[in-house]
Amino acid sequence: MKKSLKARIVDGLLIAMMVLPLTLALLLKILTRVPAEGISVTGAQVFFTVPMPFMDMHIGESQVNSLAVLITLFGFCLFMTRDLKVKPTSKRQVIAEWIVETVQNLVNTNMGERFAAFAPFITAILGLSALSSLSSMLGLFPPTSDVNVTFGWAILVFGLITYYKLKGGFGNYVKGYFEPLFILAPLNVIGEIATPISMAFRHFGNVLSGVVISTLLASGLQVASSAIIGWLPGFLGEFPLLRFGVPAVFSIYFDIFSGCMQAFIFAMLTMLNIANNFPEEEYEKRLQRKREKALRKA
Amino acid sequence: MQTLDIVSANLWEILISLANLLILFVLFKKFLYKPVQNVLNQRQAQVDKIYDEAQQDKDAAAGMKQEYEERLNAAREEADTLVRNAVQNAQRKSDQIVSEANSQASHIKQKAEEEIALEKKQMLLDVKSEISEMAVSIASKVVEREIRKEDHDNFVDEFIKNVGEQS
Repeated sequence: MKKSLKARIVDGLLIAMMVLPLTLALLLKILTRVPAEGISVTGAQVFFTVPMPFMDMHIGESQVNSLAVLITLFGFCLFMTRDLKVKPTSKRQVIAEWIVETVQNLVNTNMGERFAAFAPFITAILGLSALSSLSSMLGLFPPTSDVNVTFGWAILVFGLITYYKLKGGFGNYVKGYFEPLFILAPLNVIGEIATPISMAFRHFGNVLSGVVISTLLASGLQVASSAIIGWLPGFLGEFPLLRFGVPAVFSIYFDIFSGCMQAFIFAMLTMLNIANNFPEEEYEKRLQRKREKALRKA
Repeated sequence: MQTLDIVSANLWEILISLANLLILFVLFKKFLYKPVQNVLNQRQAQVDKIYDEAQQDKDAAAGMKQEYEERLNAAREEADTLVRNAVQNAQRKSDQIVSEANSQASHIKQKAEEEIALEKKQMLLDVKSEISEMAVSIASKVVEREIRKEDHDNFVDEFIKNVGEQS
């Protein structure tokens, strides 16, 4: 089937929307890079600082790269869902349907039918987290190695957990902290707060460790290659021979596997925490009571 | 250019990241899930419709089949009764014909027997008279005298009787 010119132009624009943001972010990084002496692992570069109440807001690499990832994913959405048909004729529609159905199934099996509306949220977590981690393969600063980014997501998840806990009634929610013993209340509070913190730090730590190991590996390989071919004259002696190919093998684990795995773990923990902490019985009881009240009034 | 520490908490950056996830959630919901679910629902509706139609067609076909079978059975029964009636009629007619023929034959036979008996009687009478005449003439010739008629008749009768008994 021949595509019309207009469809081709729109497709091209959407592909540009997917590719350009990350390319621009890479360009920005190349242009503003501060050459580091020796081995140094630092946080994100700050491009500019906006004075805000409480503390200054830094607009740095992690924010820019997050935005780039966001735009890329949005472009991906638009590209995949272009001219959907009841009888699929394009590969991209099949892929889009596969994504939607897979995540929907995942949510339904892990959270139950009641939380079926969570599928887009879980997809958002998976996409944002995975692509953020994978952006390190382009040489970008992965936003997930910034604790603020993962902590922001974890706080949102914590808010959702609390919201669904409160659906069982505020009294039950407070009572939950004093169970099984009254004295255990501080521990329960700590346990409650530990959930988002552990989620955030798990994700952040895994990605950061990958970055750290990659940096160490790169400098180590530089030393090794200069030991092997250092006797050559001039720039030939400084040629980073071992840095070709070898880091790519390690990158399979530290970037691809770890990045996708952490995205999946974060999504799984989100689903399980929300669904497991939801007080189903109390919620049903409350609904029943409300219905009875409404009946009595009527 | 300034770089941050590896672990540096900043309220606003946390909020930016939180907002990013929320925005992406809304985008995914609006631009990925809604259209795809729409298409999936439409397809489901279409498939359901096709299944319903197929079921209806199947039901209709089953109804028609039953109707045809009923009609076929009725036609068969009708044919059976027709044949049976025809056979019965034919049987009756043939019986009638045979009995008529029988009665006619017996009638004819009876008549023939009667005629035969009559003729036999007649013949006997003829033969009797002829023989008697012949005997008379023979006797007269033999005896050359007139024999009395009555004696003669008696004699002949006796003779015939003897003949009849012997034969």
